[in-house]
Amino acid sequence: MEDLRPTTVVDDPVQRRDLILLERARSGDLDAFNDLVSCYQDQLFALVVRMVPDRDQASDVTQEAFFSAYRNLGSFRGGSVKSWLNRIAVNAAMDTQRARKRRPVQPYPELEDESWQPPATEDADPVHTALTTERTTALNVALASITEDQRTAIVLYDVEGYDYAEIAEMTGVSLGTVKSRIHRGRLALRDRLADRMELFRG
Amino acid sequence: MPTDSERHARHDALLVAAFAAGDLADGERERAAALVAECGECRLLHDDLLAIARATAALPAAVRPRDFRIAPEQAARLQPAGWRRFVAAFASPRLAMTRQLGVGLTTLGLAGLLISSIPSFSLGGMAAGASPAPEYFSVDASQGEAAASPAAAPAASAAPAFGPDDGQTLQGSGGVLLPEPVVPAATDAVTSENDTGAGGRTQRGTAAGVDEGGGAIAPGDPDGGSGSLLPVASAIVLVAGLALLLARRAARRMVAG
Repeated sequence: MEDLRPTTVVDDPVQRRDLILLERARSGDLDAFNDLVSCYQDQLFALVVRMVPDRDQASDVTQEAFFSAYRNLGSFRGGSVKSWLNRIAVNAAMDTQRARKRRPVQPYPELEDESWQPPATEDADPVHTALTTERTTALNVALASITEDQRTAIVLYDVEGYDYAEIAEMTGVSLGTVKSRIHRGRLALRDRLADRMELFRG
Repeated sequence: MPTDSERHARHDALLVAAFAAGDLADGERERAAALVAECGECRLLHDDLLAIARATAALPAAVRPRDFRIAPEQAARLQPAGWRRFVAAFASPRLAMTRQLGVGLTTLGLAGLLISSIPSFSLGGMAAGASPAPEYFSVDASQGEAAASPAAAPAASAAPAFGPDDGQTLQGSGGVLLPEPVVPAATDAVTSENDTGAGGRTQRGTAAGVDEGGGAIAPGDPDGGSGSLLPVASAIVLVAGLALLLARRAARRMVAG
Protein backbone atom coordinates (compact mmCIF):
# COMPACT_ATOMS: atom_id res chain seq x y z
CA MET A 1 0.00 0.00 0.00
CA GLU A 2 1.20 3.46 -0.84
CA ASP A 3 1.92 5.68 2.09
CA LEU A 4 -0.26 8.74 1.71
CA ARG A 5 1.10 10.74 4.57
CA PRO A 6 4.12 12.40 2.99
CA THR A 7 2.16 13.68 0.01
CA THR A 8 -0.84 15.11 1.79
CA VAL A 9 -1.57 17.99 4.08
CA VAL A 10 -2.26 16.61 7.52
CA ASP A 11 -2.59 19.80 9.53
CA ASP A 12 -6.33 19.49 9.61
CA PRO A 13 -7.28 16.91 12.27
CA VAL A 14 -10.35 15.79 10.30
CA GLN A 15 -8.25 15.21 7.24
CA ARG A 16 -5.62 13.42 9.29
CA ARG A 17 -8.30 11.16 10.74
CA ASP A 18 -9.69 10.50 7.24
CA LEU A 19 -6.27 9.61 5.87
CA ILE A 20 -5.57 7.22 8.71
CA LEU A 21 -8.93 5.53 8.21
CA LEU A 22 -8.39 5.35 4.48
CA GLU A 23 -4.97 3.85 4.88
CA ARG A 24 -6.35 1.21 7.23
CA ALA A 25 -9.19 0.55 4.81
CA ARG A 26 -6.69 0.07 2.01
CA SER A 27 -4.97 -2.51 4.17
CA GLY A 28 -8.22 -4.46 4.27
CA ASP A 29 -9.82 -3.06 7.41
CA LEU A 30 -13.54 -2.89 6.57
CA ASP A 31 -14.38 -1.27 9.90
CA ALA A 32 -12.09 1.62 9.07
CA PHE A 33 -13.88 2.12 5.76
CA ASN A 34 -17.25 1.95 7.50
CA ASP A 35 -16.05 4.62 9.92
CA LEU A 36 -15.47 6.82 6.90
CA VAL A 37 -18.95 5.96 5.63
CA SER A 38 -20.40 6.96 9.00
CA CYS A 39 -18.60 10.29 8.82
CA TYR A 40 -19.78 11.21 5.34
CA GLN A 41 -22.98 9.35 4.55
CA ASP A 42 -25.26 12.21 5.68
CA GLN A 43 -23.38 14.76 3.65
CA LEU A 44 -23.10 12.52 0.60
CA PHE A 45 -26.77 11.62 0.60
CA ALA A 46 -27.70 15.30 0.96
CA LEU A 47 -25.54 16.10 -2.05
CA VAL A 48 -26.87 13.27 -4.19
CA VAL A 49 -30.52 13.85 -3.37
CA ARG A 50 -30.18 17.46 -4.54
CA MET A 51 -28.85 16.25 -7.86
CA VAL A 52 -31.23 13.30 -8.16
CA PRO A 53 -34.35 14.53 -6.37
CA ASP A 54 -35.92 11.10 -6.03
CA ARG A 55 -35.17 9.77 -2.57
CA ASP A 56 -35.15 6.08 -3.52
CA GLN A 57 -32.94 6.68 -6.50
CA ALA A 58 -30.69 9.01 -4.53
CA SER A 59 -30.36 6.36 -1.85
CA ASP A 60 -29.27 3.78 -4.42
CA VAL A 61 -26.84 6.24 -6.00
CA THR A 62 -25.30 7.03 -2.61
CA GLN A 63 -24.88 3.35 -1.81
CA GLU A 64 -23.34 2.76 -5.21
CA ALA A 65 -20.95 5.66 -4.62
CA PHE A 66 -19.69 4.04 -1.42
CA PHE A 67 -19.38 0.69 -3.17
CA SER A 68 -17.36 2.38 -5.89
CA ALA A 69 -15.15 4.08 -3.31
CA TYR A 70 -14.50 0.76 -1.60
CA ARG A 71 -13.74 -0.98 -4.87
CA ASN A 72 -11.31 1.75 -5.82
CA LEU A 73 -9.55 2.56 -2.59
CA GLY A 74 -6.29 2.08 -4.45
CA SER A 75 -7.05 4.95 -6.78
CA PHE A 76 -7.07 7.59 -4.06
CA ARG A 77 -4.32 10.07 -4.95
CA GLY A 78 -4.00 11.88 -1.68
CA GLY A 79 -5.55 15.19 -0.73
CA SER A 80 -9.00 15.46 0.79
CA VAL A 81 -10.89 12.21 1.36
CA LYS A 82 -14.12 14.20 1.53
CA SER A 83 -13.50 15.71 -1.91
CA TRP A 84 -12.62 12.28 -3.28
CA LEU A 85 -15.88 10.82 -1.96
CA ASN A 86 -17.86 13.82 -3.21
CA ARG A 87 -16.35 13.40 -6.64
CA ILE A 88 -17.34 9.74 -6.76
CA ALA A 89 -20.87 10.62 -5.62
CA VAL A 90 -21.20 13.41 -8.20
CA ASN A 91 -20.04 11.03 -10.94
CA ALA A 92 -22.56 8.43 -9.82
CA ALA A 93 -25.35 11.01 -9.71
CA MET A 94 -24.42 12.33 -13.15
CA ASP A 95 -24.47 8.77 -14.53
CA THR A 96 -28.00 8.42 -13.20
CA GLN A 97 -28.98 11.74 -14.75
CA ARG A 98 -27.56 10.62 -18.09
CA ALA A 99 -29.45 7.35 -17.86
CA ARG A 100 -32.65 9.29 -17.24
CA LYS A 101 -31.96 11.40 -20.29
CA ARG A 102 -31.47 8.30 -22.44
CA ARG A 103 -34.78 6.76 -21.42
CA PRO A 104 -37.23 9.45 -20.39
CA VAL A 105 -39.23 8.58 -17.29
CA GLN A 106 -41.65 10.36 -15.06
CA PRO A 107 -40.45 13.74 -13.83
CA TYR A 108 -39.17 13.82 -10.31
CA PRO A 109 -41.95 13.65 -7.74
CA GLU A 110 -42.72 16.76 -5.77
CA LEU A 111 -40.62 16.76 -2.66
CA GLU A 112 -42.97 17.55 0.13
CA ASP A 113 -42.24 14.80 2.61
CA GLU A 114 -41.05 15.54 6.10
CA SER A 115 -37.49 14.46 5.40
CA TRP A 116 -36.82 17.82 3.76
CA GLN A 117 -38.06 19.92 6.64
CA PRO A 118 -35.60 21.72 8.88
CA PRO A 119 -35.63 20.44 12.45
CA ALA A 120 -37.90 22.58 14.63
CA THR A 121 -36.56 23.74 17.97
CA GLU A 122 -38.79 24.12 21.00
CA ASP A 123 -38.39 27.87 21.18
CA ALA A 124 -38.80 28.39 17.46
CA ASP A 125 -41.40 30.87 16.34
CA PRO A 126 -44.17 28.79 14.71
CA VAL A 127 -44.77 31.45 12.07
CA HIS A 128 -41.07 31.59 11.23
CA THR A 129 -40.87 27.79 11.14
CA ALA A 130 -43.89 27.57 8.85
CA LEU A 131 -42.39 30.21 6.56
CA THR A 132 -39.05 28.43 6.41
CA THR A 133 -40.78 25.13 5.67
CA GLU A 134 -42.83 26.66 2.91
CA ARG A 135 -39.78 28.35 1.40
CA THR A 136 -37.72 25.16 1.53
CA THR A 137 -40.48 23.15 -0.11
CA ALA A 138 -41.02 25.72 -2.85
CA LEU A 139 -37.30 25.93 -3.58
CA ASN A 140 -36.89 22.14 -3.65
CA VAL A 141 -39.77 21.79 -6.08
CA ALA A 142 -38.33 24.54 -8.27
CA LEU A 143 -34.87 22.96 -8.15
CA ALA A 144 -36.29 19.61 -9.21
CA SER A 145 -37.94 21.23 -12.22
CA ILE A 146 -34.92 22.93 -13.83
CA THR A 147 -32.52 21.09 -16.12
CA GLU A 148 -30.17 18.56 -14.58
CA ASP A 149 -27.08 20.40 -15.75
CA GLN A 150 -28.28 23.64 -14.18
CA ARG A 151 -29.31 21.89 -10.98
CA THR A 152 -25.96 20.12 -10.66
CA ALA A 153 -24.06 23.38 -11.12
CA ILE A 154 -26.23 25.26 -8.63
CA VAL A 155 -26.07 22.50 -6.01
CA LEU A 156 -22.30 22.19 -6.31
CA TYR A 157 -21.81 25.96 -6.17
CA ASP A 158 -24.45 27.25 -3.79
CA VAL A 159 -25.03 24.24 -1.56
CA GLU A 160 -21.68 22.44 -1.56
CA GLY A 161 -19.54 25.54 -1.91
CA TYR A 162 -17.26 24.35 -4.73
CA ASP A 163 -15.72 27.05 -6.89
CA TYR A 164 -16.23 27.34 -10.64
CA ALA A 165 -12.97 25.60 -11.52
CA GLU A 166 -13.70 22.62 -9.28
CA ILE A 167 -17.20 22.27 -10.75
CA ALA A 168 -15.80 22.52 -14.27
CA GLU A 169 -13.37 19.70 -13.50
CA MET A 170 -16.01 17.57 -11.81
CA THR A 171 -18.58 17.93 -14.55
CA GLY A 172 -16.17 17.95 -17.47
CA VAL A 173 -17.25 21.28 -18.97
CA SER A 174 -15.59 24.66 -19.38
CA LEU A 175 -15.54 27.38 -16.76
CA GLY A 176 -17.79 29.54 -18.94
CA THR A 177 -20.33 26.75 -19.23
CA VAL A 178 -20.42 26.34 -15.46
CA LYS A 179 -21.07 30.06 -15.00
CA SER A 180 -23.70 30.07 -17.71
CA ARG A 181 -25.47 27.08 -16.14
CA ILE A 182 -25.54 28.78 -12.77
CA HIS A 183 -26.81 32.09 -14.16
CA ARG A 184 -29.45 30.47 -16.33
CA GLY A 185 -30.38 28.07 -13.55
CA ARG A 186 -31.03 30.93 -11.12
CA LEU A 187 -33.09 32.74 -13.74
CA ALA A 188 -35.07 29.53 -14.28
CA LEU A 189 -35.59 29.19 -10.52
CA ARG A 190 -36.84 32.75 -10.34
CA ASP A 191 -39.18 31.99 -13.21
CA ARG A 192 -40.56 28.90 -11.41
CA LEU A 193 -40.87 30.82 -8.15
CA ALA A 194 -42.44 33.94 -9.68
CA ASP A 195 -45.64 33.50 -7.66
CA ARG A 196 -43.79 32.63 -4.43
CA MET A 197 -41.04 35.22 -4.41
CA GLU A 198 -42.57 37.00 -1.43
CA LEU A 199 -41.32 34.02 0.62
CA PHE A 200 -37.76 34.92 -0.26
CA ARG A 201 -37.86 38.71 -0.14
CA GLY A 202 -37.24 40.76 2.93
CA MET B 1 -44.08 55.78 -25.38
CA PRO B 2 -43.03 52.30 -24.15
CA THR B 3 -43.90 51.34 -20.60
CA ASP B 4 -41.31 50.22 -18.03
CA SER B 5 -42.36 46.64 -18.60
CA GLU B 6 -41.90 46.93 -22.35
CA ARG B 7 -38.48 48.50 -21.89
CA HIS B 8 -37.49 45.79 -19.41
CA ALA B 9 -38.45 43.07 -21.90
CA ARG B 10 -35.58 44.29 -24.07
CA HIS B 11 -33.05 44.16 -21.24
CA ASP B 12 -30.56 41.35 -20.93
CA ALA B 13 -31.66 39.19 -17.97
CA LEU B 14 -28.55 37.02 -18.30
CA LEU B 15 -26.38 40.09 -17.88
CA VAL B 16 -28.24 40.93 -14.68
CA ALA B 17 -27.81 37.32 -13.47
CA ALA B 18 -24.08 37.44 -14.16
CA PHE B 19 -23.91 40.80 -12.36
CA ALA B 20 -25.75 39.36 -9.35
CA ALA B 21 -23.26 36.50 -9.26
CA GLY B 22 -20.34 38.96 -9.45
CA ASP B 23 -19.00 37.36 -12.63
CA LEU B 24 -18.68 40.41 -14.88
CA ALA B 25 -15.54 42.20 -16.00
CA ASP B 26 -15.20 45.96 -15.76
CA GLY B 27 -17.01 47.15 -18.89
CA GLU B 28 -19.96 44.80 -18.63
CA ARG B 29 -20.22 45.31 -14.89
CA GLU B 30 -20.74 49.04 -15.41
CA ARG B 31 -23.37 48.37 -18.07
CA ALA B 32 -25.21 45.94 -15.78
CA ALA B 33 -24.96 48.30 -12.83
CA ALA B 34 -26.49 51.08 -14.92
CA LEU B 35 -29.27 48.73 -15.99
CA VAL B 36 -30.04 47.74 -12.42
CA ALA B 37 -29.93 51.38 -11.31
CA GLU B 38 -32.24 52.64 -14.06
CA CYS B 39 -34.73 49.79 -14.52
CA GLY B 40 -36.95 48.90 -11.58
CA GLU B 41 -37.69 45.41 -12.87
CA CYS B 42 -34.03 44.67 -13.47
CA ARG B 43 -33.36 45.80 -9.90
CA LEU B 44 -36.08 43.49 -8.62
CA LEU B 45 -34.69 40.63 -10.70
CA HIS B 46 -31.19 41.29 -9.32
CA ASP B 47 -32.45 41.28 -5.73
CA ASP B 48 -34.55 38.17 -6.30
CA LEU B 49 -31.58 36.28 -7.74
CA LEU B 50 -29.49 37.18 -4.71
CA ALA B 51 -32.31 36.03 -2.41
CA ILE B 52 -32.63 32.74 -4.30
CA ALA B 53 -28.87 32.13 -4.06
CA ARG B 54 -28.99 32.79 -0.32
CA ALA B 55 -31.98 30.50 0.16
CA THR B 56 -30.34 27.73 -1.89
CA ALA B 57 -27.18 27.92 0.19
CA ALA B 58 -29.29 27.69 3.36
CA LEU B 59 -31.35 24.69 2.27
CA PRO B 60 -31.52 22.12 5.05
CA ALA B 61 -29.97 18.77 4.29
CA ALA B 62 -32.31 15.90 3.55
CA VAL B 63 -32.48 13.20 6.19
CA ARG B 64 -30.68 10.02 5.19
CA PRO B 65 -33.16 7.15 4.77
CA ARG B 66 -30.79 4.31 5.64
CA ASP B 67 -27.33 3.29 6.71
CA PHE B 68 -24.83 3.04 3.86
CA ARG B 69 -22.14 1.12 5.72
CA ILE B 70 -20.92 -1.97 3.90
CA ALA B 71 -21.52 -5.45 5.26
CA PRO B 72 -18.64 -7.97 5.16
CA GLU B 73 -20.40 -10.13 2.56
CA GLN B 74 -20.91 -7.05 0.35
CA ALA B 75 -17.27 -6.12 0.80
CA ALA B 76 -16.23 -9.60 -0.29
CA ARG B 77 -18.27 -9.25 -3.47
CA LEU B 78 -16.87 -5.79 -4.17
CA GLN B 79 -13.23 -6.83 -4.11
CA PRO B 80 -12.13 -6.97 -7.74
CA ALA B 81 -11.12 -10.45 -8.81
CA GLY B 82 -9.45 -11.97 -11.84
CA TRP B 83 -9.02 -9.63 -14.78
CA ARG B 84 -10.78 -6.79 -12.94
CA ARG B 85 -8.13 -6.84 -10.25
CA PHE B 86 -5.44 -6.79 -12.94
CA VAL B 87 -7.06 -3.91 -14.84
CA ALA B 88 -7.90 -1.98 -11.65
CA ALA B 89 -4.21 -1.94 -10.80
CA PHE B 90 -3.63 0.44 -13.72
CA ALA B 91 -5.68 3.13 -11.97
CA SER B 92 -3.32 3.08 -9.03
CA PRO B 93 -1.26 6.26 -8.58
CA ARG B 94 1.80 4.04 -8.42
CA LEU B 95 1.24 3.15 -12.06
CA ALA B 96 0.51 6.70 -13.14
CA MET B 97 3.44 6.54 -15.53
CA THR B 98 1.63 3.92 -17.63
CA ARG B 99 -0.11 6.71 -19.51
CA GLN B 100 3.14 8.36 -20.52
CA LEU B 101 4.63 4.96 -21.29
CA GLY B 102 1.60 4.04 -23.39
CA VAL B 103 1.70 7.32 -25.29
CA GLY B 104 5.44 6.93 -25.83
CA LEU B 105 5.20 3.36 -27.08
CA THR B 106 2.28 4.20 -29.35
CA THR B 107 4.16 7.15 -30.80
CA LEU B 108 7.27 5.07 -31.30
CA GLY B 109 5.28 2.31 -32.95
CA LEU B 110 3.51 4.71 -35.29
CA ALA B 111 6.78 6.45 -36.11
CA GLY B 112 8.43 3.11 -36.80
CA LEU B 113 5.61 2.02 -39.08
CA LEU B 114 5.71 5.35 -40.90
CA ILE B 115 9.45 5.19 -41.34
CA SER B 116 9.31 1.64 -42.57
CA SER B 117 6.70 2.67 -45.12
CA ILE B 118 9.03 5.25 -46.62
CA PRO B 119 10.57 3.69 -49.72
CA SER B 120 14.14 4.56 -48.82
CA PHE B 121 13.78 2.67 -45.57
CA SER B 122 11.57 -0.13 -46.68
CA LEU B 123 13.28 -0.80 -49.98
CA GLY B 124 15.31 -3.54 -48.50
CA GLY B 125 12.39 -4.93 -46.59
CA MET B 126 10.16 -4.95 -49.62
CA ALA B 127 12.82 -6.37 -51.77
CA ALA B 128 13.45 -9.01 -49.23
CA GLY B 129 9.75 -9.63 -49.04
CA ALA B 130 9.52 -9.90 -52.79
CA SER B 131 12.33 -12.34 -53.02
CA PRO B 132 13.94 -14.23 -50.23
CA ALA B 133 17.14 -14.48 -52.18
CA PRO B 134 19.95 -12.05 -51.31
CA GLU B 135 19.90 -8.92 -53.42
CA TYR B 136 22.56 -6.35 -53.91
CA PHE B 137 22.40 -3.12 -55.75
CA SER B 138 25.34 -2.11 -57.71
CA VAL B 139 25.80 1.56 -58.43
CA ASP B 140 28.37 2.51 -60.87
CA ALA B 141 28.59 6.20 -61.57
CA SER B 142 31.27 5.86 -64.15
CA GLN B 143 29.05 3.77 -66.31
CA GLY B 144 25.86 5.60 -65.53
CA GLU B 145 23.81 2.65 -66.41
CA ALA B 146 22.51 -0.34 -64.74
CA ALA B 147 20.41 -3.26 -65.58
CA ALA B 148 17.65 -4.45 -63.37
CA SER B 149 17.83 -7.95 -62.15
CA PRO B 150 14.70 -10.04 -61.94
CA ALA B 151 15.16 -10.35 -58.21
CA ALA B 152 15.53 -6.63 -57.54
CA ALA B 153 12.92 -5.46 -60.01
CA PRO B 154 10.06 -5.41 -57.49
CA ALA B 155 12.09 -3.23 -55.18
CA ALA B 156 12.83 -0.78 -57.92
CA SER B 157 9.23 -0.56 -58.98
CA ALA B 158 8.14 -0.12 -55.39
CA ALA B 159 10.46 2.81 -55.01
CA PRO B 160 10.12 4.88 -58.14
CA ALA B 161 11.60 7.95 -56.47
CA PHE B 162 14.93 6.33 -56.57
CA GLY B 163 15.06 5.45 -60.17
CA PRO B 164 12.62 7.27 -62.35
CA ASP B 165 14.97 7.20 -65.23
CA ASP B 166 17.89 5.09 -65.99
CA GLY B 167 21.10 6.83 -65.21
CA GLN B 168 19.54 9.64 -63.18
CA THR B 169 21.97 11.06 -60.69
CA LEU B 170 20.63 11.24 -57.19
CA GLN B 171 23.46 12.85 -55.34
CA GLY B 172 26.35 15.08 -56.05
CA SER B 173 28.57 12.09 -55.76
CA GLY B 174 27.19 10.89 -59.03
CA GLY B 175 25.85 7.75 -57.47
CA VAL B 176 23.00 6.11 -59.24
CA LEU B 177 20.75 3.77 -57.39
CA LEU B 178 19.56 1.13 -59.67
CA PRO B 179 19.27 -2.55 -59.24
CA GLU B 180 21.73 -4.71 -60.97
CA PRO B 181 22.38 -8.36 -60.79
CA VAL B 182 25.92 -8.52 -59.60
CA VAL B 183 26.31 -11.91 -58.21
CA PRO B 184 30.05 -11.70 -57.80
CA ALA B 185 29.59 -8.38 -55.99
CA ALA B 186 27.49 -10.20 -53.47
CA THR B 187 30.46 -12.16 -52.50
CA ASP B 188 32.44 -8.94 -52.32
CA ALA B 189 29.81 -7.36 -50.16
CA VAL B 190 30.01 -10.11 -47.65
CA THR B 191 33.69 -10.48 -47.66
CA SER B 192 34.78 -6.84 -47.84
CA GLU B 193 32.38 -4.86 -45.72
CA ASN B 194 34.99 -2.29 -44.84
CA ASP B 195 36.21 -1.80 -48.30
CA THR B 196 36.31 1.91 -49.07
CA GLY B 197 37.85 1.87 -52.46
CA ALA B 198 36.43 3.92 -55.29
CA GLY B 199 34.51 2.45 -58.13
CA GLY B 200 32.88 -0.86 -57.63
CA ARG B 201 33.02 -0.55 -53.90
CA THR B 202 30.59 -2.63 -52.00
CA GLN B 203 28.78 -1.92 -48.82
CA ARG B 204 26.70 -4.26 -46.77
CA GLY B 205 23.64 -3.05 -44.98
CA THR B 206 20.21 -1.69 -45.59
CA ALA B 207 19.31 0.66 -48.38
CA ALA B 208 19.76 3.66 -46.15
CA GLY B 209 22.34 5.32 -48.24
CA VAL B 210 24.03 5.59 -51.54
CA ASP B 211 27.66 4.86 -51.68
CA GLU B 212 29.51 8.04 -52.44
CA GLY B 213 31.80 6.47 -54.87
CA GLY B 214 29.06 4.63 -56.63
CA GLY B 215 29.72 1.36 -54.97
CA ALA B 216 27.36 -1.48 -54.55
CA ILE B 217 24.69 -1.13 -51.92
CA ALA B 218 23.26 -4.13 -50.20
CA PRO B 219 19.86 -2.94 -49.03
CA GLY B 220 18.83 -5.97 -47.13
CA ASP B 221 20.30 -8.58 -44.97
CA PRO B 222 21.45 -11.43 -47.10
CA ASP B 223 19.12 -13.68 -45.21
CA GLY B 224 16.22 -11.29 -45.89
CA GLY B 225 15.39 -10.82 -42.18
CA SER B 226 16.47 -7.35 -41.03
CA GLY B 227 14.49 -5.54 -43.72
CA SER B 228 11.20 -6.65 -42.21
CA LEU B 229 12.34 -6.26 -38.62
CA LEU B 230 11.41 -2.58 -38.26
CA PRO B 231 7.74 -2.86 -39.23
CA VAL B 232 7.28 -5.96 -37.09
CA ALA B 233 8.98 -4.39 -34.10
CA SER B 234 7.02 -1.17 -34.63
CA ALA B 235 3.76 -3.06 -34.78
CA ILE B 236 4.60 -4.87 -31.56
CA VAL B 237 5.51 -1.60 -29.82
CA LEU B 238 2.34 0.05 -31.15
CA VAL B 239 0.14 -2.78 -29.92
CA ALA B 240 1.86 -2.72 -26.52
CA GLY B 241 1.35 1.04 -26.23
CA LEU B 242 -2.30 0.85 -27.22
CA ALA B 243 -2.86 -2.04 -24.81
CA LEU B 244 -1.39 0.02 -21.97
CA LEU B 245 -3.57 3.01 -22.83
CA LEU B 246 -6.68 0.86 -23.12
CA ALA B 247 -5.96 -0.90 -19.83
CA ARG B 248 -5.50 2.42 -18.10
CA ARG B 249 -8.67 3.83 -19.62
CA ALA B 250 -10.63 0.75 -18.55
CA ALA B 251 -9.19 1.02 -15.06
CA ARG B 252 -10.17 4.66 -14.77
CA ARG B 253 -13.68 3.87 -15.97
CA MET B 254 -13.89 1.20 -13.31
CA VAL B 255 -12.80 3.75 -10.74
CA ALA B 256 -15.33 6.31 -11.95
CA GLY B 257 -18.09 3.73 -12.09
